[in-house]
Amino acid sequence: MKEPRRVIKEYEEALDANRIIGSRCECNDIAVPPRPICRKCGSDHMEFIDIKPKGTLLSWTVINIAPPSHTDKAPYILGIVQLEENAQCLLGTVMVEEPYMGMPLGAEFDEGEVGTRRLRWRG
Amino acid sequence: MAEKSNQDIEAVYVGQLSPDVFENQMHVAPGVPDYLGLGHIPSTRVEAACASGGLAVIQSIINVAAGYKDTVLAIGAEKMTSLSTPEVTRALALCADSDYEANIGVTFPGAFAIMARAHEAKYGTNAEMRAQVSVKNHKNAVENEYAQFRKEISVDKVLNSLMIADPLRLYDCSPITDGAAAIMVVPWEETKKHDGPKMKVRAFAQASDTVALHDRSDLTSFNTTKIASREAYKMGDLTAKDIDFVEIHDCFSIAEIIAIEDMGFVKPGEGGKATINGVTARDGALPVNNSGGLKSRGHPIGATGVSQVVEIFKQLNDMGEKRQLQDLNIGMAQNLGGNGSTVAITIFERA
Repeated sequence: MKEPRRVIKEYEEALDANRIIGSRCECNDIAVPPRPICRKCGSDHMEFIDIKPKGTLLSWTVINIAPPSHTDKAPYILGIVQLEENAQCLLGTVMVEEPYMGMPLGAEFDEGEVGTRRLRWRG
Repeated sequence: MAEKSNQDIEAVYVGQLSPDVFENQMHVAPGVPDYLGLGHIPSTRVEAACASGGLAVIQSIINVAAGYKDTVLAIGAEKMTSLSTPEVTRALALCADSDYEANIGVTFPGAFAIMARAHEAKYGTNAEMRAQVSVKNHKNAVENEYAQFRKEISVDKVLNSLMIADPLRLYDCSPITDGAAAIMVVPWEETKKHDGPKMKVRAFAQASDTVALHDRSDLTSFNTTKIASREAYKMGDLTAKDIDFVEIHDCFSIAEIIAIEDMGFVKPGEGGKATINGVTARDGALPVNNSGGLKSRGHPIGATGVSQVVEIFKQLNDMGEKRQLQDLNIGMAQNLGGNGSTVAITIFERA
């Protein structure tokens, strides 16, 4: 089994290289971000795979009152994105003017950020 | 549960989210027997975000039920006003997934706003329905001398208040509060030696879910509330129809609407309509948050779950004064931690 902190680091390093990765268990369950142990069957035989950077918007909010780390960015949109290839969803920053339920989105990467903060979803 | 002196207390559970961030103090558990003069008895802090208090109650019940100690004190407390609002927002956001949520600027109003929008899209639960939760809970708190806000508000006031995390506005959100609550748990035989007010533990349950919201399959309900409620009903040989009144974790207006659906009081999607129709009002079929709830009684994080139980204790002993409900036998509390990653359910009956 991979140590959980190591798995998070690999996910962040993939984002730094403009890729989204997930884990695929031997039972075929896919998790994004990747996990060290399968949530469905408990196996730790996980393979890391590339995930297609496309999805649809399931729901979203506009954060007006932000925590101190993000006050200079407010207002900003955070949404739950359902990834195209499987049922897994991912929370992310959404960079569109007028979001709507079911909006098709594609992932882009902010060169000025590192790790999970790089991920940007655009219409 | 009954009246006793502090010298009888044999163990303490303290529900508190973050004395470290709020008060620059960790290891608060021994501070309780220390400052209350209880001697060298065991004291344990329980942390489960906003469900810390509910878990302190459950741990106290389990301790007594196991026969280990006979007089256990469950305390919930939080001192939040020592920090600015942005600092409190940051402290609470630490209860979300640090790597995948807090890191990109998620707030708890934001997480519940995402659920509110999903609930609205699926069921039509609109801003007026959510606002009615806050209007009702403000009205209920007028008669609660321990409430933070004892002032009625209008639907218009909610709908025109500051947007915090779209679609949730200021008056959809529970406030920042200082507070504490406590309850004593003893074996049932012990209560017969005392004339004071008492109630019986009928059932309890606790459930966990993913820390990150994006790992859930459904954004319109909480697995934890559904699972823990079902288990508690089973333990107490009860159904939702047997519950006379409830204290619910309305950290945000939408949370109360979702909770009454998840606990089985109304069908999925009908929580908003039931609220508008007065079902959950003080004079409704199922009074919800007769105390004023988190919205108006206040939400001192660790204290909330214990104060829900204190309210049920008062109601079941006819100590509710002007907010006393009639013909009560069974009361239920739902205490939710984080964005529903932990839920504590307790059910009590009149002694």
